[in-house]
Amino acid sequence: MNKLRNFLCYSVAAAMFFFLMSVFMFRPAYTQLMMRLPFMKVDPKFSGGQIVDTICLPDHRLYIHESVFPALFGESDEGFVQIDVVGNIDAIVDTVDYNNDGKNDFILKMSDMQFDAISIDSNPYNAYISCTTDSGFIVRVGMKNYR
Amino acid sequence: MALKKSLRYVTTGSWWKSLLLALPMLLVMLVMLTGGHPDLSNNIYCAALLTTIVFFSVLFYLMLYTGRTDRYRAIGFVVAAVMFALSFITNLVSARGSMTFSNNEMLRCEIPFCHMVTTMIIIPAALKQTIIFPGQMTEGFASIGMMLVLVVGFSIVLGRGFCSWGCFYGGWDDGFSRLRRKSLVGRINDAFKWFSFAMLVYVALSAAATLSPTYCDWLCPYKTITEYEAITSTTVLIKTIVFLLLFVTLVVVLPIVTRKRIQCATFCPMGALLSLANKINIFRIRTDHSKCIGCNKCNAECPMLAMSREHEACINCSKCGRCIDACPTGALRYAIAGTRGRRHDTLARTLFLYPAFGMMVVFLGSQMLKGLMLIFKLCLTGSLI
Repeated sequence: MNKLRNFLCYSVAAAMFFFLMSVFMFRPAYTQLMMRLPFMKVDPKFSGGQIVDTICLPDHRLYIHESVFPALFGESDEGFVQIDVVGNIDAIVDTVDYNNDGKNDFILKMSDMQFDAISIDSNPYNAYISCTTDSGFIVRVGMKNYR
Repeated sequence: MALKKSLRYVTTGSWWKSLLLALPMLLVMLVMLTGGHPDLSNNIYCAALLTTIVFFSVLFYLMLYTGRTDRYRAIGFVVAAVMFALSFITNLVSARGSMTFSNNEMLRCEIPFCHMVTTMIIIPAALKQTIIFPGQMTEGFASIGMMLVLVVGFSIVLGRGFCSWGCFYGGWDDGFSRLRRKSLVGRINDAFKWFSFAMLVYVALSAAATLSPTYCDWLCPYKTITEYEAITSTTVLIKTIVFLLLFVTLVVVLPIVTRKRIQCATFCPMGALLSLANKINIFRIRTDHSKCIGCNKCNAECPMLAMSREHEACINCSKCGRCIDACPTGALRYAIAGTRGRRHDTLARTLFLYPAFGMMVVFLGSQMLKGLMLIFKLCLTGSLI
């Protein structure tokens, strides 16, 4: 019995080397397997969340993400909506209805690479962070959670 | 002398057996470092590849032949850690123009995922089903998916052994802890080793509460040798001062003074998480109490504060082998969980060395290859980039 147990334990130990090599060699396949796990997605606080609406304009497009109120449980009091601006443009002035309720929420302005959000409703929107991408810009508009 | 040495160290017995056992590792290196397609037209690459393979092959052969583990492990580990920093920083500078990242990289989710982040994503992944890190899931350098696969694989294969055989940061404080022959302080209280578990709990909870990787944001000393946030506000300036101070204190000064890996042993949350994996890991360091003379050398030498007063390796042992090398009677040895007796000591040690050294050569060897290419390029062209 002892010999069998020893044999099994040494066999498992030997298998560890081959398992390690398989991790290195087949890591793209293992990564794809891991991606099936339900938690394998970047938190909307960092990714901006899913795109829920697209506004097509003559010289550019706006991809509007879902509004994000990051919290471990429920929603926080403050959040943001991310807007991807795609197009080779120097300035924009666009009215945005981010929650698709039929009422305009804010005006998104951009000039000299600076974004600004002007509130239309009572929510104090502010474009607090932006960056350039290969295809245009990303801007996040901060807001209070009135839901 | 030869008899005394053979009693003390578990060796393969002869030079040709050691050579035979080293050959498979050579093949593994050739395949894994070249991906099966070596670019023989690039002289710099060929020279760096040859140097890397010879360097690691000699270390592995000496490990097998002499029976000493830590002495040769440390050489490879420290050199690879320095090479990693060199290649990582050079890549950053050539891609971004500096070691800093800005809001641009954060918004575009382009921050490379480091294994340390694993400790911070656990609670949000369980409760919110999301990963709280601004990185790429599958694409780009060090994607979240790929790094998590490696972390899970390493945890299963070596447990906390990753900290001494695979971590590209660990070589820094390991190196600094070896600069002095004697410690400047007396015995360090064993209780400090539990501080890393407290750090793990704190980091996991604070990351969950703020939904941000707090250790990376505020505490990681290794940002000094990788990348850090561009200083654009007072908060970021404070963060920069904090991580620089932590690097100088925990990675440089305290390891030199104490001869212990203070950052790894007491401050690293990832180390604490991997310690838990040690419980299910098949490789152990076992003490033969009939041989132990109670000299306490293992305790004095252990860089991770992992030896108990009964001279047993604790849960936070990183399997570096320094205690085994230091033991004057050969009472300590690598063993396989579930086995008994000392008849197969050589087999157990060899079975441990293959995955452990394999992890080092494949994971760190590729970094060393890149680092060497940069050095050779610098020598030939006068430019790193």
